Amino acid sequence: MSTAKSTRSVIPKFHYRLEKRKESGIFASLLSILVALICSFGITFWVISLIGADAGTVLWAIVKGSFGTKNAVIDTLIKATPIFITGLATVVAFRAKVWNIGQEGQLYTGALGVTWAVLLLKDTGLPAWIFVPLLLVVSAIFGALAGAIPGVLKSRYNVNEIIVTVMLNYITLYLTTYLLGGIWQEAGSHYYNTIRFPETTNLPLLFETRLHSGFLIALLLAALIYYLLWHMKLGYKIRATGSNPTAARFKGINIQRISLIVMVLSGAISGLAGGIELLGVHHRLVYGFSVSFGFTGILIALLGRLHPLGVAPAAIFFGALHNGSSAMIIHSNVPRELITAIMGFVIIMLLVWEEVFKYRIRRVEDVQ
Amino acid sequence: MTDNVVVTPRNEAPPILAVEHLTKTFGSLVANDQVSFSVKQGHVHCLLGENGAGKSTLAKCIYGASRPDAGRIYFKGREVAFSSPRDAIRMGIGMVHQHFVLADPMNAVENIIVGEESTGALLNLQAEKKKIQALCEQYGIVLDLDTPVAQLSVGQQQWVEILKALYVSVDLLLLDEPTAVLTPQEVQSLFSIIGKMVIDGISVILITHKLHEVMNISNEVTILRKGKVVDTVPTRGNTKASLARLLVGRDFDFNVHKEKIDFGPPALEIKGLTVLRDNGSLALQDVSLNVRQGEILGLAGVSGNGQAELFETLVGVRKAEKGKIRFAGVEILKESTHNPEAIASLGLASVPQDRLRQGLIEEFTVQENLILGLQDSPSYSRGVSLNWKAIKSFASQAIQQFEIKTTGPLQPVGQLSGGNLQKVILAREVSKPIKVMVASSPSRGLDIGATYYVYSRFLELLRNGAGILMISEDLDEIFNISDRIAVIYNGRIMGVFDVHEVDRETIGLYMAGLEEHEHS
Ligand SMILES: Nc1ncnc2c1ncn2[C@@H]1O[C@H](COP(=O)(O)OP(=O)(O)O)[C@@H](O)[C@H]1O
Ligand SMILES: [Mg+2]
Repeated sequence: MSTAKSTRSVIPKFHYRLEKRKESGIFASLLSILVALICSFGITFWVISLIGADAGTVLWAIVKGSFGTKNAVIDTLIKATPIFITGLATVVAFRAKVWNIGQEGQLYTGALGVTWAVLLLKDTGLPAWIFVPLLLVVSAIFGALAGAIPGVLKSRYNVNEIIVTVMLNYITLYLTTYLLGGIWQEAGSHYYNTIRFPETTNLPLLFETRLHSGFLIALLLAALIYYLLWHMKLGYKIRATGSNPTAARFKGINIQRISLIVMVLSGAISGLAGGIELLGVHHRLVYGFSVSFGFTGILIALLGRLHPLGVAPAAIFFGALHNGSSAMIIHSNVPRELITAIMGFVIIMLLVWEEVFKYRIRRVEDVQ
Repeated sequence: MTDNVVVTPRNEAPPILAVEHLTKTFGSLVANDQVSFSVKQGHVHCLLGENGAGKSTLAKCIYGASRPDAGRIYFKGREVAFSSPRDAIRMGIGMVHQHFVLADPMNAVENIIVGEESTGALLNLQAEKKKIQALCEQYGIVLDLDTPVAQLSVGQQQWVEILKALYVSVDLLLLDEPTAVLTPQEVQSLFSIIGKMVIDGISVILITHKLHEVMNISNEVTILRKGKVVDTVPTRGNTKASLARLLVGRDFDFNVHKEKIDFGPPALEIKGLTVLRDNGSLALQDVSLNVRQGEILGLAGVSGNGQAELFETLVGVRKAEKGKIRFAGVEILKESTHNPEAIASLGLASVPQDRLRQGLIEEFTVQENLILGLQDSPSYSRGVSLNWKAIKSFASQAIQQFEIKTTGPLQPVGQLSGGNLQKVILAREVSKPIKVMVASSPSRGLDIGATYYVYSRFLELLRNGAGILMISEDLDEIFNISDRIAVIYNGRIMGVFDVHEVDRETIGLYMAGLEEHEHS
């Protein structure tokens, strides 16, 4: 321990190079994820026993509730869809090291856009095959606009995007509440919700189940983003900007423009997540329709190591946790918050083990 | 140079340090392979080897900054196994690292004291300063002890590092390529300091890859090649040529064979260029330079005198305050052209000082790096997509042509050695038609073979009518291949000379701002 430490303090370059040199990157990464999951479930077990419940029963309830039946699986996928998409939105931004924390607000903005368009067009009798795609485009455009605000502020005036996006999250949330308590509130309703959207706005269902086509869109989007990042010029520039902005700038990549584009893209994707959630699940704008989908998306993107192929399983895992929690509260007296706690454990463990694994590799190189 | 420092009888002196069969590996790479050598008390012992030979690794093992896999180290007759440099310092071993940076706001005194954990109690700063001043006088070190070290020149920072070792009275001092960043005059001061240390009985291990330094100062020299000791020989009785043979393993021609080229009209004209640093201070003042077609203009200077800002202005990432730059018939300081993309498309190639920070993307593969900046060119893309097939075939070709040592186009560039990183940049930069090449320290960190390879590529560019502006603080390099030499000091051009009409000492004086060089 002291060797590695002192080495680092003498020549900082030393440990940096060792880190990059590791060749078993993917394997170590997967292993660290596995160990992190095992650890967080260990902690969860322990916490459940503290509450006085039987840990085995509780966890089994979660697993059964999320994957036990066909309906359970479908519910899991439905729950996974919005966070899958906000996860992808995060990947695009974070790959360029643009720290968009505004997925939640952008998702709401997308939902607001959809609601506005529905309320505007509900009596025009537009057929579903036009109405649905139109609304999805509207949600993406609204999300893009929400992303453009921090994007322009960052690229033009170098304003920190984290602060702006976080502030916009609050503003959008309050705006939504304001609209739902006022002009958009369903007449006679005691809740914060709009009228039900017409049938022609429903996302088509898949396999004659409750699973809406939003999940398919998410999968497509993942493929698209993979293609964008590794096969398109724009994606190349995004990754270059994120990995080494100095070199990117020296070699003629306009990193200001890239950070703007990335913000707009990320916002559009988050907005789409909002649109899909409304048209696929709620069919109206309702207070609290997003259970922190934006923030969960960030966690998922990190868990999936900023790769579309990693985001997919991560989203399904979190979807399962969400879904399983319903079964859990039926079968035990464990509070729903436990699920949030588990998510927290998972994230902390992931970060810890990622570091530990790096450190391991460094030690192996050093002592052999 | 100073008189030689041989004071102790060579053979009778007992070894202060003996290394036996030391092996150190990094993964599959064997950086030190069964290294054995010993250093006699009061001697200057050179470790000579090309970049990557394992000199720094060996020094770090001796200093306890790195733990050897196998082997024994004896110091003052006792076997030692330091678990940290702190142990080594306690036993009397000091080290000045290669490429160290003192970036903190403390002044020299604080730096020297804090660096060593000699006592835990609060120190009397004034008393310690006196002690350090005395050391400075004793060894002839000229240093302002009150300036924050971050503001000192690299040479002066080196004195701080050396003072740290003297302050704790080491018996053995390891200096890892200390002269790489010094002016010829500073090198002389360093050598005279070393001479005084030796008289005081301090033994010195001097790491270098420069033959003339070995000849100048050492008693003995151990030659390392690819991690192995080739031989340990007394300096006396050897010549530069005989050492060179040991160093590269074959006879080596150190002359660059330039054919006579008639210089054409200026390819790059800089007039009255004034540029500010990020903090608003003047980086360049009224700089005027011409690079003609077919010539290499060497810009000599200690780093930090405006070279970085000149480079950045030329490639288009730093704004100019005043002045004109005419390149390829275009006034490039205009708003519309002063960006890296436009300038590069006019035919400017650039090799930056800091390859991994400014020229390459570490996580990217070799092939991705080979198209950095060229990604929009129709040769490597189709519509909005990259044409990986074309990129890969270009990469394979470049790897072959430039003899880049890599597992293939898909290897992350961060895993390549310095010389191969440089080749990746060169291959990329000359893959399009160019009119001017701006190269910053092109051979820094390269072994002799790679260095001469780079030079041969430069000559080829000249033959094709390009001009080269070569920014370098290495006078060997400057004198080796320049046609003319300009000297930059404090953001001003101190003079421009024909290479045949000037000597190193004169250039050294200009580099140090003439007689003012102690307090820059
Ligand atoms: N921390 C490290 N991790 C992996 N490889 C290293 C590390 N340090 C040095 N090396 C490799 O070991 C070899 C010897 O390096 P070094 O001792 O720095 O050579 P020198 O000082 O002679 O130029 C080089 O190939 C270098 O890339
Ligand atoms: Mg070295």
